[in-house]
Amino acid sequence: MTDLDRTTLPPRDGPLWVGAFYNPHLARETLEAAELFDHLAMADPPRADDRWFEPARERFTLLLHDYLGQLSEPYDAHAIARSRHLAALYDSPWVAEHFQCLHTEDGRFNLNYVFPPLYTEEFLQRFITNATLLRAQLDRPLVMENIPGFFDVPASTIPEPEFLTRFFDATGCGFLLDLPHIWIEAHLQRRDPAAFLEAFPLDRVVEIHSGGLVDDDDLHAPWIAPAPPSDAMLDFTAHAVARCPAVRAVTFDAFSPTLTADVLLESTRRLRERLVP
Amino acid sequence: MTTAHGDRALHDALIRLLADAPFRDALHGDGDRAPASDLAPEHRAVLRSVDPERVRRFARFLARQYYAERIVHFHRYSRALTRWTGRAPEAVLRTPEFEALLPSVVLGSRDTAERVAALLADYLGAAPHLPPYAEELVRYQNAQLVVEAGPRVWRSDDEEPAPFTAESAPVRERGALVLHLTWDIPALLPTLLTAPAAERPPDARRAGVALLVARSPRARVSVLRCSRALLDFLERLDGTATIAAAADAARLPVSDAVEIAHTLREAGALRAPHASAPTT
Repeated sequence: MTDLDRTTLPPRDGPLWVGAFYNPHLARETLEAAELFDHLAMADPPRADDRWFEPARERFTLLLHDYLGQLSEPYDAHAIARSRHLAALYDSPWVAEHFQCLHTEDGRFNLNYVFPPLYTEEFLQRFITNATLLRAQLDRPLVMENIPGFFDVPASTIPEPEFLTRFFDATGCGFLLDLPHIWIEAHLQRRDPAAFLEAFPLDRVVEIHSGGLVDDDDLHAPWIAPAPPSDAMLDFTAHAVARCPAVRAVTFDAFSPTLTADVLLESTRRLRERLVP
Repeated sequence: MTTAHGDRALHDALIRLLADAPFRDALHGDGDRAPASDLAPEHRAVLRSVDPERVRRFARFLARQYYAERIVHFHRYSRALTRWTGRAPEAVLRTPEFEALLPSVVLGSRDTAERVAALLADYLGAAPHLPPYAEELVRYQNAQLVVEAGPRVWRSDDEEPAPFTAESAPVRERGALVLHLTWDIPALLPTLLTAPAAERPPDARRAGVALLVARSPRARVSVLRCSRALLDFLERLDGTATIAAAADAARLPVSDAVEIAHTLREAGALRAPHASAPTT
């Protein structure tokens, strides 16, 4: 097997997976309803005192979806070692990163939450170069998640879908399509989400995130929340799955200590009923 | 002062625009004033062209997210007390007092962390049905919130520093804190998280404890229980005293003191005197 083979996913040859994030405070309930979950995405490493992690690791496919670094700069040896360690611990079939740039180069300022890069030629080349390096060092497929922008920056000269398409063409990475993020951007741009979706490279999608949105008091706009997906979001998810021929997994995207077992189980059940015949 | 150009520098300016409320004010006020004066003129023009209302809203949103994440992590033990007190620590972020803080917030700064910690102390201290150790529990958690703040190393190609020897003269990191408590809070913590529902919160043991709270350059917070000898040893490490001399004064075996100094450096409590604190 060549290096390229190990970092490239073969075509899907089984049913679509439906899963959720591993929320440690709901691990017992997750295991008790194991039939609902094909996979669990890991946003944080397991705590040493988490007695549910080992049973979860034995029972489910785990997907590495931690904050590993930002691809505007190359990962250093520490970040590479941490990423490799977590990927091996989970035996993750792919590793997720984000189209985001959260902290300044000098480390003084850090937003700690979603903020996309400037969509420029310079940033595109930075992301291509650093993702290619990371992927080779992970020795596993790398998928990249789209991140919404809350305001336009005139210095961004490349439309986001084109930036992503050129990135995926250059790197061979997979696309983690976050539908609530698409929905938010479409809302902010007063566009139809399904029409907005069509501009993205859907043939590259490996995993889809679906989830709930609520109106945020600060933003005066909908934003991601640990809430169930609406009927409209379920419809949108089914539409996206149909439009993404290589998608392998759909994940209920909620990771929060305020997430309740009812919301986790019911949301995953509804996604499964809607997506898996 | 040098002015950075290029897209990466512009993006850094955008991050600062969202993270640093006084910087936003300066940008939209007299743009030639510090702190916005170190911006390249073309970057200042871009920042001024971004919808200020959208920026303001997103900055407020990010500030609440930023401190919510830290409170959920550091104050999880006060959260466990919520079933008796009815007051969840993260609810402080929806109070008028936090609202009043927003125009001066600098995400991740020590000053803002100290002010958020003060709000938490007041807010949680006013809860009903508090166990007697509640105030010290908040102090313990607040110390971690404060110590975690500040510039951090995100990536580094530096080699491992040379190991300390008995003749090394390290200095205590200014950001590390020593807490003196009258309740054994560390021993209480596992019980708090797993205590079954009962009429009253679990009891703590009264015992004087000293804790060193430190942060590694990559912002991993550690809490170390300190003996009297360890406190004496730490106090003497001012960058001029050698480990051997500080160990003698604290009545610690020198070989143990060298080992301890290694552990303290890994935790971020000590550094070689010539090594800089993580300002980058």
